Amino acid sequence: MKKNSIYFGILVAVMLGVTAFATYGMLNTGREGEEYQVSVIVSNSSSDRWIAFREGLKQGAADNHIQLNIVSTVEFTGLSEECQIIRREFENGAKGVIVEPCSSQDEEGLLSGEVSEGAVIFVGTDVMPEGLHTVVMPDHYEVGSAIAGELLKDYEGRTEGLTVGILCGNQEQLSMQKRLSGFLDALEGTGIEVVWTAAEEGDGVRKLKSFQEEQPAEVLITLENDETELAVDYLLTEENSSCVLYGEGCSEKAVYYLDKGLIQGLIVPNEFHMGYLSMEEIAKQLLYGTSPAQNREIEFLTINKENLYDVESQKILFPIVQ
Amino acid sequence: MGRIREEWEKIITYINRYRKTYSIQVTISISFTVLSVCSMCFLGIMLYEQFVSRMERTAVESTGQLLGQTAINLEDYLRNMRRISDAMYYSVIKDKDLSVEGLDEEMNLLYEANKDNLISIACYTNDGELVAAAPVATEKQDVDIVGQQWFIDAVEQMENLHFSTPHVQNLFDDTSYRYYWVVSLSRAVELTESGNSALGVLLVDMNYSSIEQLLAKANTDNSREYVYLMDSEGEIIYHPKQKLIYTGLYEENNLEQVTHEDGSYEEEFQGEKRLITVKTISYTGWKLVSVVPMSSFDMGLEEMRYFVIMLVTVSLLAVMILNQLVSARIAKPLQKLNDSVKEWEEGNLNPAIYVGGSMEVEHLGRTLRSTVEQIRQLMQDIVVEQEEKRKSELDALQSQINPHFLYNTLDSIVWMIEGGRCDDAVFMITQLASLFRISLSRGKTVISVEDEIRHARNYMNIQKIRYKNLFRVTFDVDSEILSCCTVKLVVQPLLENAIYYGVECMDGDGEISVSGHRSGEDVYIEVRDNGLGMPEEEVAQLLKENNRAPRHGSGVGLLNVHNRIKLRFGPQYGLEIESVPDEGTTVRIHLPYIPFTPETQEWLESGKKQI
Repeated sequence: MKKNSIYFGILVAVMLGVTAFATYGMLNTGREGEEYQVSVIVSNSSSDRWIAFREGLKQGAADNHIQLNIVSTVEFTGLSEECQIIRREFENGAKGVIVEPCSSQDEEGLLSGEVSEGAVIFVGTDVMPEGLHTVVMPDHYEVGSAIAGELLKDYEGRTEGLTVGILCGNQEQLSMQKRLSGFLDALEGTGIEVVWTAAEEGDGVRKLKSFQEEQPAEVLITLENDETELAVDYLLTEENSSCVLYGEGCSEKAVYYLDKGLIQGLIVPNEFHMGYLSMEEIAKQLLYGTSPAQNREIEFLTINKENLYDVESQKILFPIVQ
Repeated sequence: MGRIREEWEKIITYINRYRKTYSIQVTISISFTVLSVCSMCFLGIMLYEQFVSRMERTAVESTGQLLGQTAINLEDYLRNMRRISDAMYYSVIKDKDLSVEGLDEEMNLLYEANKDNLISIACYTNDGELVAAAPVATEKQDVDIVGQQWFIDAVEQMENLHFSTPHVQNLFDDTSYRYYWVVSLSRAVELTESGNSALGVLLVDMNYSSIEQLLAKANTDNSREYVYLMDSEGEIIYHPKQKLIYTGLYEENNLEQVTHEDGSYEEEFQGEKRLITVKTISYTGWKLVSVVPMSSFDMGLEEMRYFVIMLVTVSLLAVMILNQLVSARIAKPLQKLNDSVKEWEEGNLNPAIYVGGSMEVEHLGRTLRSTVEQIRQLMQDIVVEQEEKRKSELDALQSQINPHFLYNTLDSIVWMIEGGRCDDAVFMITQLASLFRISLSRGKTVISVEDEIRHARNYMNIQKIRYKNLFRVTFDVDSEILSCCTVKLVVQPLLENAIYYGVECMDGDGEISVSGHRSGEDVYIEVRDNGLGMPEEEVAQLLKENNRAPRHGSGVGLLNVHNRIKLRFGPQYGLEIESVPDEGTTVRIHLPYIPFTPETQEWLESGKKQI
């Protein structure tokens, strides 16, 4: 009898256990998992050049149940300012940050210190030393090579003595350094002469004018979107200039002036992909605690006036939602 | 058939080998619980299956409704666009001679009236020259109008209206750097200039955002279900993950789905089962497709699954407890009844038979109680009967003594009177009277040792007279045992034997001694003579039933006394005989030490219980 009571007790306990399990399951069904807040910190975040990137971020956030916060920023003055923003975001409850480092030279370890607070993904460029964090970016060396490729294609057989001025952007960033070296390496043995190279400078068009006055270049090369827009502005002021422009960019302004014929060739990274992928990567970090540092490469398009309205180009170049 | 029977018998044997006998409560409880588990599980599964089936039906219906409603909205939108095109063509272009007046005014009016859904309206000549456009905008330089797909479609099939797939408009210059995704509605038109007809193309560029917003409404649900739109060639017009598809991060099975007619289909794509519903949009041949991953049903059903499990387990728990209570209610009275029977089996002749529980069990209890009562009564009757029989036997034994002794004594008295020994006769009669008084003892068979010894003295006094003091008699009885109980007339037969078989033949040297003492809880009274004695073999035969034949007298003797003591006090008591030939015989009466009181006398007299 006692044995039977024990069996009955065990059975009742099992039933109660199953009931508790089912009740717990029922109450928790449909309840979304924790929605992490992720802040995105890029320089001059309201710029048009980030439209596709933002779209990718939003799609990635929606697909990965992440609360997206794109921090409003202006042009960063330095890494310390960017680090302050990162710190503030973590203090405000962000579990992770997607950052475009304004400088890859983090000798003081400011950036490394801040990003150790939580999950982090770098976009656009890595920081020194390389390989410590996950970075989503195009192959910058190839981007530089592709710009050179467009130039060489258009000037095939006429490159000897061609003068080139390069707006090489923020050379504190590894990405820009690689683009520059990719471009210069591609020009080797072509007879093209680089008459000047200008890194990112505050006094945009006027500085560019002074460079051109000192050493006129027949071709302007820009290695990033802001420099491309700067060069466009310069060319618009120089109505009689025969200078042509090749560069990198993804803003509507850059595309527009490609369409207008002011820009001869444009390298456009798929920033929608960059945004989506970075969100996917940070979601992995938040979900699994950690993930191995790796470079996630995104593709880029080489656009010129002929293929601007190709079906495939349209899909990447023009944001669907206006 | 025989083989089946053999197998069946094997199974039955196997079951019987391992079958145990369980209590009625366990049997009822297990049976009901197994039945309940099976029933509840069956009910739970049926309930769940019903729910799943209904939910799937509802989901399909809901998807169909959503798709239908979206298709209606889209068709409304497209119809409106067609009307704009028709209005422009039939009411404006056909009526105008371009050499006389332009199309701008009417075109602007139409545009203004529909500008929420339109990007532009434009009319081109067959050479791709712009005739009119609204809103007024600068035409792009070096744009190959005639090479654009919408133009080609319009010219190639002039009788039709042509809806393009979404594309970026490449017609007008917008200095705000804006590019518009449009769906172009183009048609061939007849332009009149100076009375001459010429072919032209009317283009209505619909804002793709309007279509996108319209379809996005169908995709606001958080479930994994979605609706997308493709043209008749399978080219995606709208998809909630359009950019991902363009980037190659997501794939859609549009090229296979475009082959389906309207209706619902199940498919497996990238390892996922999906329910596809296709609806063709009028005028365009576009296909609106709803995709419902089957796993989304599972997600919706998860809560229901848990609910069913909870419901089944709670019900089972309740049923099990109820089973336990009901089985206990049924089994407890039976168990109590069984306990009563066990108690009875163990020897309690007066068990408390349980009467209670259900009507049947109560009836059983009553019947059993009545049966037990009857059996007990019967047994009591048997005991009483046996006691009566024993008493009768005792009385018979008792009555064997009196005539025997009386005959001898009266014979002696007669002899004395005849011999003129009147004093002796008087003494003898006095002794005889005393002896009879004790013998009678008011009909009691249990008397005190004191009375028994007195009775023995009286007897010996009589016998001494009769035998002319042929022997000597000594009495040495501890006063301690005088007040304890004995069966009456146990010493006198021993004395009688001592006389007849011991000292009768001795010429004045016979000695008979009577002694008594207590040893613990036992009392011993010894009658010793120094007579002829007897061999051991003869002693061994004395107390046996088959050796009742006496050598002298009436045949009443040791066995009589031995049996009476055993009958009254138990088999451990009685006579012990020691004898040595030519030395004498000692007969020892072994009695329990029971103080003589009226109560103990009554108790022993009742004969109901031996010690």
